[in-house]
Amino acid sequence: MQNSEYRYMTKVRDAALLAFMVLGVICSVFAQDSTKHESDAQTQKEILAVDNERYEAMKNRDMAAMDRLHADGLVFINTKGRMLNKAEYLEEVRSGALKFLSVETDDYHFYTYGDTVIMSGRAKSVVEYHGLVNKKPRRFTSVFIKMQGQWRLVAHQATLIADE
Amino acid sequence: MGNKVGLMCQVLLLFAASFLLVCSSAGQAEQGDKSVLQTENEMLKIEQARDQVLQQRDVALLDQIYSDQLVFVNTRGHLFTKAQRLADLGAGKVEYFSYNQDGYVYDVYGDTVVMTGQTSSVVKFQGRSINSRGSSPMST
Repeated sequence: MQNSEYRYMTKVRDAALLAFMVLGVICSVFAQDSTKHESDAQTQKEILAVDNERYEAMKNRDMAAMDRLHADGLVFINTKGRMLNKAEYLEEVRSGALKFLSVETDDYHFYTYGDTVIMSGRAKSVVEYHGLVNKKPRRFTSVFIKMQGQWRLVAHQATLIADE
Repeated sequence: MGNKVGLMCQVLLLFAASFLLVCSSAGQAEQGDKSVLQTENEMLKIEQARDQVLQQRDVALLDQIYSDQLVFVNTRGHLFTKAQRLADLGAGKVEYFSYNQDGYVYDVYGDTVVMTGQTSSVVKFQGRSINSRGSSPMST
């Protein structure tokens, strides 16, 4: 093989190697991105399942499930701006002071930060609170953290939507 | 005699090991308390900076403080993204005349902090003055 032909072949080989490397990096980035989307989608499913479980537990006053699904440091702020800790919130459910007559939620948004998920949504659920029925739509923000393999609600705030 | 000395040595070793374990646990607890306290101080500094920046409408600084995935729900129950929030502040659609917070409660979960407090503020929102009081949690 002549020198010029050898040099040409070497260049072609190097270019091919570089192209493969670039392709490899691109594929790896796409694979990571796709894995992240799948993992986020999986996390969202888990959070929705936990939230549905929470509503079921509230409706059935299943206090063992309520205890499991809420973190000990729960901060719960209702539409009246009242802040309740876990013991106070669970007592409202147990005593029947807080009752969900129907559950209707939509417009979910999820923000995942590792083992922390912020979920925002809109609720049109009908709630009886200390004898008064509230049908007003509200925007809620919930923070879930995975603790010992279980997603738990650590913070929740509900705000009435003024114009709906 | 030899058995007694051996037993004494074992008891002393056990005692020393227990003492070390207790010291280590106490040290870790103190370290944990300091770390939580430091996190709370960091959060408070950020929150106080945010209070100032909101009143000064310093959008560039707010851009640094807010996460790109910000979820902001105002007292009327409207949801805003970071871009919407910064645009409203920049355009003067939201103006804070006073913004006071107190009654902070912190819950630290590793890199996540839930901070709750009470706010009393005088805000102009889309041309209307609003005096508001409320409680709000924040998570980072």
